Amino acid sequence: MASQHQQSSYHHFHPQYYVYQPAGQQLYHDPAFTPREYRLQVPQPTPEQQQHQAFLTGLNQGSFRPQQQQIPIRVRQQLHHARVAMASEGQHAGPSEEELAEMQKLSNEYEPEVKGPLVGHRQLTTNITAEYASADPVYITKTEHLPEKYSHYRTVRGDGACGWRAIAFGYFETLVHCGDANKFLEEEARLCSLGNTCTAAGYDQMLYEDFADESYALLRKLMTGLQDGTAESVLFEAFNDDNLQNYIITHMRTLTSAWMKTHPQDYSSWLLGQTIDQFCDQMIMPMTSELENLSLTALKDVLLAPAGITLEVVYLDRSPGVAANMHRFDPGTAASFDIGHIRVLYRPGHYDIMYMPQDLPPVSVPVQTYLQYASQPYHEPAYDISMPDFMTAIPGMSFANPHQAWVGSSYADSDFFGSSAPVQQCPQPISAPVIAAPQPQLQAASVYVPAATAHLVPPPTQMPEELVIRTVPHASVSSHESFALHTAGPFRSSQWQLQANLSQHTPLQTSIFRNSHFNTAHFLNPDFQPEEWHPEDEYVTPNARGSKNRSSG
Amino acid sequence: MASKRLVKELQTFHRDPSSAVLVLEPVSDDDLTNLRAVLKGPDDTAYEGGLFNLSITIPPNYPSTPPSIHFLTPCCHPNVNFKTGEICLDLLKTSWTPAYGVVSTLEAVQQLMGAGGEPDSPLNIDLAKLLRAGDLVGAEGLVRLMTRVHAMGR
Repeated sequence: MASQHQQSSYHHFHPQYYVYQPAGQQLYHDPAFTPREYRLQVPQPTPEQQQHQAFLTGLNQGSFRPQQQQIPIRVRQQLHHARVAMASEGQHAGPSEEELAEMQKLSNEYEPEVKGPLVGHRQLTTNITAEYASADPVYITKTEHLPEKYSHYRTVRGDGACGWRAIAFGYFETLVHCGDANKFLEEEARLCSLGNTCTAAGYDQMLYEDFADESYALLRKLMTGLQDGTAESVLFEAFNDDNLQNYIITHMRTLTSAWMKTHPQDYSSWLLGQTIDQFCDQMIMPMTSELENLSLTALKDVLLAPAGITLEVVYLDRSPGVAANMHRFDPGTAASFDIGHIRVLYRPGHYDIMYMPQDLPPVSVPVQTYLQYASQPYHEPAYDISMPDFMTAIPGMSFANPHQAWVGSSYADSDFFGSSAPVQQCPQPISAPVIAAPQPQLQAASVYVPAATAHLVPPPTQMPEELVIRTVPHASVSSHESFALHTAGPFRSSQWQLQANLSQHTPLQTSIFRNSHFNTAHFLNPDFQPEEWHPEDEYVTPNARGSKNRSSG
Repeated sequence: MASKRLVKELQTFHRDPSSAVLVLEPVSDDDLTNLRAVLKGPDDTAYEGGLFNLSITIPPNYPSTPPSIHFLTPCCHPNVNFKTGEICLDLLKTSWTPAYGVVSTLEAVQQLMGAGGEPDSPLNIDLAKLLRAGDLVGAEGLVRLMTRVHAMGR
């Protein structure tokens, strides 16, 4: 069923265009596919195509709402066909009774084609604003204000069960974002205990437990997924598995109606002319029944509130006002704690999931610069830095080939780094001994480099000096390189040496470096130079990371 | 998922037989998706004493979609097509819920027979006409006759 729905409407609509497609190009599967491309390939457009072209041209020229294009092209075509058909009927007064009956039957059986994934990917709320850009002014105002509060949203397929699916997905996702593995065990135990309620409400455990088992299995999968970071994708896949999500939704339905049946005093006064049993059998349990307001309340009471999840429903409708109304279903007294929010966007008859910025899990952007490192202290940047980038941050290093740059120096064959791989690759061992440099910091600059394997280098922690490192312009890389290659001898100076005003800012003075064994002034250095060592420099940084590194180095 | 659930349902049926469903078994042993059932005509109705054969086809995504159930034995009922055996029951269409099983669905069919049906959306027009005209005696007589002829013969 899903595959049929996902077929592009172009595919049904304009097969003749594909005649002109180069074989194998399959443009209609290409997300970057623009209508303009194939339009140009149609040599002799038919009137209908011209109409379509006018529409597309309007779109391409950026006029979002061309005057005559308010009706979708497909509908207009059908209208056109209908007019043609009516004209050809001539003086027929109207359809006969049989035809009317037939049309009524077709109308009754008509179901709008449901498209899209069961649960979509998270996207920006501004897309909703764009979607309503040509709608009623009330909608325009309300959707314009939507992104101010809600940054993202997630579409849910509108097949009748969207409300159930949105809440169920939100429930699991909130648990994932909560990030506490114990919470999953807790919830599984709690849902298991609700089995008694279901039995008490008259549901056959033999049938009910199949659905419940899928929920428990998903909880367990998410718990393990939490550890390796796959929980979100596991959840996404589970809810896009038609069968699986049906089972979970059925579980939710069963819980909800069992809860209502066992707590009739809370709900019966809201029912007009229906008993609780009738309501459950007709409005909750059937596969096609939508999430009513009363069942939403009951679902919140049985599933969300005891878990400490707050439910917010944002109503986007044509009621007056500048912002969409929001109704919050607090956990109330059922739970004294709060683990998160589910926010759903309700457009009459349909639910989507929404997110405020604080609902989103922390985004782990690959850290490339020290500046970002400082703002995300939990992240270990050294593992993420690709080597060339990192190398260019070091004065005197070549962007193009960091190893070559220092291989020519006399340090290459020294036993300086023991098992350091680049050292061993030196083609021409030179036996010149390491001479203590008069300027230890600058000499250290050249020996610092072979430790290019990033994990040996502790990340700088001091902000001012990080800034200095960061400001090394990449544009000067080529001059670095030539400089490095042209320099020979036991000591390879860097261009920084020539600029006296910069030398005092040299990043090699960082306390981290000074305290590391790469510093010849450090006692752990194999070529330790005692005369350079100042005990008072040793413990300048009270930083825990620095001291740990020193002991491990 | 469908077969796992069906096996479970069949096992439960054998362990705990239903008073309404006398037989429920696969037509052939290697295909669980085609079942045969024998339904007992409800007591104290015109169907009493009749045994009705039904065929049940299980869709691949059962229980997300309802099984399709047809009468094999002609059943004279306003909501059952006398010739094709088609049953008009909301449970088998829009009101389906996976919380129902095959056995409980068959029980619902038996209840439909006992409740006399809904003559305003008939599949058996002759019988519905009698009922709508208020000729309950005539309708019951017709049902009794048809049950005797078709469902009690053997």
